[in-house]
Amino acid sequence: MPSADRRALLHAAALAPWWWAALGPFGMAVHSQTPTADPPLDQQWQRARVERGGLSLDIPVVVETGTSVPIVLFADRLKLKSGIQIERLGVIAPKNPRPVALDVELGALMSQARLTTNIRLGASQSVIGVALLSDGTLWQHSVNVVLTGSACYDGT
Amino acid sequence: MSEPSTSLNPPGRNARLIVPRLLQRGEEFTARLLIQHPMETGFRRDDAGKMLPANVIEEIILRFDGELVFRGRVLNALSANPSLAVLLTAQKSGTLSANWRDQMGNVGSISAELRVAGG
Repeated sequence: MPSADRRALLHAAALAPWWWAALGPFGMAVHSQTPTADPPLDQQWQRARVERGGLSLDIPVVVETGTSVPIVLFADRLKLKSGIQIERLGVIAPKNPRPVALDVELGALMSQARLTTNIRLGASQSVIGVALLSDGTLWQHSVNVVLTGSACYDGT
Repeated sequence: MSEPSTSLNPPGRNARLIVPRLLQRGEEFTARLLIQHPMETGFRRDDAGKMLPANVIEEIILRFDGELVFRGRVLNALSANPSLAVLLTAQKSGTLSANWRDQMGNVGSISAELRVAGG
């Protein structure tokens, strides 16, 4: 990422939780509506280095309706350096009215950082899975999902 | 397809936490949490054209004998009647419990006993 972009992004991220760093230069594409019910600001982004790492976001690439889209978010602990933990998993759907789809904290009893659930999507978009490691590294994996019907707005 | 407004229970009261009946020590297993909740986004209208107030689950906490397993801090985009499945291991028998709270202040909880052979 060019340093000017990086600086602009970090400037924007100063007002935002850690996962914004995962949006990269495409962060500007985020829906302009203010997300509600979001967590208090977090400064983790300052240390974030973004890489694919051991994260995989398993989501269908073509979805008929966004009301319930199955996802599996998996951060592979085998790809971790020793002494590093996976602290949080998240899903960002930039074109949803509330772009932060999920933000989940993991405890030590989870044997694998794997989360299976169903989410709503409001539009065709690049869905971004993120994992925050305890050393500040951000793993990310984005998948472009094509949607033929929205979940967040009426029309069906 | 709006949730029937005649339901007697507030949303989020009906739930299931599914775990295996018996485990070996250290065995990996899936814990599955299902909550009956409309997860109303606040972007939809009812039949009369009025906006339906948003009501999504704000927080879900999963604990094993009081120790944090999993905490959902933002669950905006969970579908209606959310289902969450996580992979856990248990070294001893104990109680796995889940607590949640939605935007309207409805709270719910459910727990399941984990039986670990020899533990």
